[in-house]
Amino acid sequence: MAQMSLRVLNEQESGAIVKINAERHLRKHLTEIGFDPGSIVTVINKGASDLMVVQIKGCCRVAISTDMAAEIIVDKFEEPFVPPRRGRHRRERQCRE
Amino acid sequence: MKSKKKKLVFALTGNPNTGKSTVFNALSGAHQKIGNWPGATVEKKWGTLLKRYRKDGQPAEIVDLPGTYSLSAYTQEELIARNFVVEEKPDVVIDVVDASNLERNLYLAIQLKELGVNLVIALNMVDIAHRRGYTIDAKALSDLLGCPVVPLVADKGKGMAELMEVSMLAAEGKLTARPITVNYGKDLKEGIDELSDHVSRHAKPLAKQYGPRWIAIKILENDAEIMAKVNSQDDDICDAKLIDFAKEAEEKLGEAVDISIASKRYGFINGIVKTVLKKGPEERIIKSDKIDRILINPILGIPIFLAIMYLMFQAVFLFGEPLMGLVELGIDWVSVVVAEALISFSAPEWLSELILVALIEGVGNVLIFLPNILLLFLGIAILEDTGYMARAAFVMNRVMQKIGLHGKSFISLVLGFGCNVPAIMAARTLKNEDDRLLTILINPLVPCAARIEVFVFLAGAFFAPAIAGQIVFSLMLLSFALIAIMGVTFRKFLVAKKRQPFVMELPPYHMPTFKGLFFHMWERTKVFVQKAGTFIFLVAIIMWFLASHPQGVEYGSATSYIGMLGHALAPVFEPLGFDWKGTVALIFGFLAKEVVISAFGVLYGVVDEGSLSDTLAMVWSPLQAYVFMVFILIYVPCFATIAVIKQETNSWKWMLFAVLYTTILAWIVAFIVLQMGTALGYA
Repeated sequence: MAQMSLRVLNEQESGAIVKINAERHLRKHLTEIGFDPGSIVTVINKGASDLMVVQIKGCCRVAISTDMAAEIIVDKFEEPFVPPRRGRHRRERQCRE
Repeated sequence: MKSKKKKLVFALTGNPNTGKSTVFNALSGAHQKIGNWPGATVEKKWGTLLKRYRKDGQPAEIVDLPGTYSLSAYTQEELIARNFVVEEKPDVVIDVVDASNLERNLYLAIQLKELGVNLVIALNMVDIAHRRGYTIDAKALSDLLGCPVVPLVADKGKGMAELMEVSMLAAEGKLTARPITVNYGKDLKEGIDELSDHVSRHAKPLAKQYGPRWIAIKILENDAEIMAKVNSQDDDICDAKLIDFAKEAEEKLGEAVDISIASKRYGFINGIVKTVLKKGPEERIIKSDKIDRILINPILGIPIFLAIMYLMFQAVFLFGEPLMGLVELGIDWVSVVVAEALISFSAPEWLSELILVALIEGVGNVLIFLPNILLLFLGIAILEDTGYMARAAFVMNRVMQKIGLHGKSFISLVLGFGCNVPAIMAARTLKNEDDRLLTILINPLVPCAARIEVFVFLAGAFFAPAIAGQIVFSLMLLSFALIAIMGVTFRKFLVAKKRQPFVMELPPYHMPTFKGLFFHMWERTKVFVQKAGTFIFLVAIIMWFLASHPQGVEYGSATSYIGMLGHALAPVFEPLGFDWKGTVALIFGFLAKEVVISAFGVLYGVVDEGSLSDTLAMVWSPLQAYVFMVFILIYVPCFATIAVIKQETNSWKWMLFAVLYTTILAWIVAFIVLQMGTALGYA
């Protein structure tokens, strides 16, 4: 499983969140809005240079600065993300653990 | 059980963008009040429950709590929502949950359950979830959460009756709510048990109010507010000890406790969601993403944004014009009727003058612009309700960063088009103090509705209807340019360079409902009209007094108090080409920008002969009018804005700074515009 920052993921690629390198309060806030370790994040739109749109919790779109994304470490999924059955990713995650 | 006579209180909670305000509007109808939470700048909305939802006519109040993702104290909104739930103990908390976004929304619900409130889940937007191919088993969800769950389509009013029926039963204690326990894992559980045991022994009142387990969890989450509360009540516990508890747990876990707790909650939610939610095939890229490909495109995004703003202003003036004519007719009619009535009652002359000049003319000159204000607020409501506003902040982020501001500052700036006062308050969403200070200081440069109103009036008086819109738009562009220049300057000289990272949800695009737009528009207009009705009226009376005294002077003449004041200050404005009347209008603009127009009304004594526009067009050249508008655009924000700058920065220094820099900048820019205009032959 390749660990990398969320920033380097391409559009449609996903990964499971490993950790967030940020100041305590910001880290907590990000965790609470859905960037909790283990959950799946997918890059939706990477058109802009300063911000990127990612999907968390299966459907929320969150715009996040690329600098922030660089501090979010994910386990990248090897195959392209197939959204319909997210249960599968959950299982993968459990296997890893 | 509550006695029948007691007023029931229902609190509404929910994540942002869940249709919470739609639910609130549906339950309270037009009986709403808007204010501020005590000691905070977050808007408070509450209202009376509509009769049709009441039971046995028992009165009930609905409080709309701020939209939050969580009950931690990360934002002021979260703290307010939490404190209200804990301290005011509403009979029922109705948590509006977006069914199409169940997992994230349940995070707040779980926290409310942990807090032990009497919870009812309003499962909103089940239609959208259904269209996405989700089926949600509301019964199973209710069983797992241990509280009632009512499916809802608030947009269409579906399920509201059931929601209130269930909530009433809950309020009467006729439903059995079951507490839930999130499994925080073995290591955390030990810490939680130990701490809650300690808290229930040493901080009894607090433990009673919040529940010891909840306090324990909050301590482990390093919640500053709760820790302070524990410290103040507990004889045997101190910060160091609390932190020790958290440290110990951290060592056992090998990761940060607060992250672990949040993670475990999501784990718990995940279990629930797996059971209750069945997903059909989901489109690979949903519609919103497709629209976003265009609207937040790095090349197209900003031109589209500018085009939308341009269209909005054009539309406001196009549709506003005929409506303004109607309002004007109405005011004239009232003026005539009142004048006749005053004569027939043989009222004293000063009273007639006060009523006709100060009240009807003064306030009327402001009310004429109400259609434009309404349309402008409608435009902003459309931008917000469709979900475009968040995209605007997205595309503007890069520009905002360049001019020293934050993407989110943009939202505060846009609100400034309505009124700078709430806009400056909205800067609180910025967590970084420097970003916030800059946003506050820059905000007065955004032309508020009152200033736009003055522009519309003057542009209408001095320029052909075909170009009036463009004249106002050019002032907008000028303000954008100044915002950029001052932003960069302030970032460079006033504050440190570091900024808060950008994190913002992009809600799916959504077709707004007429009802929703109406409420949005009405809410803002109401605040504006209240201001016009009280403050401006007061200023109009003061002006009338100053213009008609000392006794016996000709109204608004050079020998009146107001004339003296104008003459004294006129030399300062002479290089800009303003006469003493213009100077007086500017002085009153300091109180409220709308007053500038009524000041002209008073100064030129325009009561019944000809319209004010015609009179003005005779005494000023278009260039002079434009220079005057430029000065109005930039100089000292109104009294209320200054007060709020003081409040928000908590500093006389920054308040004074804002007053001085805007006025000096206004003088300089107006002077340059005058020189350029004269050189180009527009004099």
